[in-house]
Amino acid sequence: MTHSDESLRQYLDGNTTDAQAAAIEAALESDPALERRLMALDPYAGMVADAFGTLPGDERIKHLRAAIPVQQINRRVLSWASGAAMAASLAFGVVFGAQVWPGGQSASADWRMEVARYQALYVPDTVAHLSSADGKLATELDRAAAAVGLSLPVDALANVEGLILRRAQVLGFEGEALIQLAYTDAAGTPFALCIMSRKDDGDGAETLAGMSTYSWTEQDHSFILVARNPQTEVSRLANAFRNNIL
Amino acid sequence: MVFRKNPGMTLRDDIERHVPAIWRFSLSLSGRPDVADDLTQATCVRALEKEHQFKGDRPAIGWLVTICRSIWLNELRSHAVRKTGGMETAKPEDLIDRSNNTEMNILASQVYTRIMTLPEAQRATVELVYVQQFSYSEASKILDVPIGTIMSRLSTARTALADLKDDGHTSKKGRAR
Repeated sequence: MTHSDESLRQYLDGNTTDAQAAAIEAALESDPALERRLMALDPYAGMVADAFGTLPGDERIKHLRAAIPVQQINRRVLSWASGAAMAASLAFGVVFGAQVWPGGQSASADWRMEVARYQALYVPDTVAHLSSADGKLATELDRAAAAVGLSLPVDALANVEGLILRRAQVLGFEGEALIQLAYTDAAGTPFALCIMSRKDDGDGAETLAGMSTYSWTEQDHSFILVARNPQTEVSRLANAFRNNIL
Repeated sequence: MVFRKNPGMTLRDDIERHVPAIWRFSLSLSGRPDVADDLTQATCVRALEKEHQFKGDRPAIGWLVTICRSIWLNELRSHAVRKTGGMETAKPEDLIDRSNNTEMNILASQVYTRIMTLPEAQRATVELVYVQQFSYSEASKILDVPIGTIMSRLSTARTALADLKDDGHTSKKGRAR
């Protein structure tokens, strides 16, 4: 059965009977030429394409392109997370550096990437058992703050926009102290705020090791917030930390 | 070895080129520009992770929007709904892409608002067929529904836009499926 342009236009305007519409739709299943004709006759396609064609704006495109990772994500590191080696490393504390990563792969000199890779191994169960209720937290935070030469009052950092502080620990990267404040959100999702006593060029949102991160520098210290949550949320929370720490 | 039509072009180049299209499809799924940012970003990262699965024998955009939809349905949708209390509740002012430095004309703005207030499945169908020019059968594969459902969703969208069409010969009647 052939369908005239007129009958196709009537179909597109909703002016056919259900039986006629069903016949056209049945024919579309096996007739690519009919499909092309119908698409070409559709008077709405152009107006919708015009309305959406200017989106998104140039600034948005620039930011989105800048966030595409330069290097491919190394899945081997992530799959390694399930191994017993990681459980042992977590239990005894981890020193960041080339020797931590298996398979002879060289660790990046970039501490932000290392922090993101480490945090990529965190799951809710990694931090679920940590209680923020006992008095240990203030002591832990004091010890960690001292390691990077900062003063970090527990009152300002125990609850930041609903993120609850669970643990503060001292780690290391290339022989320098690196501290990690482990947080969870209301859903139990782990977040990490890491701080080093070094100047860094990190500034703003980055996707690293598949994680959303936001970095900034204050005087002689570099900060990064890392989580698996959407980037907009991580950036918003990072700015809340930035305000609380200053 | 992955076959590519243009051996000089990497998957990352393809992804970068298609960022606007991925964002528009993300917007059609999520209904919100801020969530579309996250979904676009997640899609780019996932595509690079899955590069070995990309055959390169057809345009990358079809593969990219399939990944985008999968991430939306399996990972981000529930999070976004929890955060916003529902995906159909965005206020009209929240629908505007504030980074857009080109003013939409009045008709385009009306078309945009009408489309964005349609349900998610219809928005996504309209975006794939009318904006990205996927054929009905390609859209049916990407969205995993029969062609008839694609046609029905487009019919509803046309009904929503009928009074904006300039020839005045359109029907106000849509068909349900």
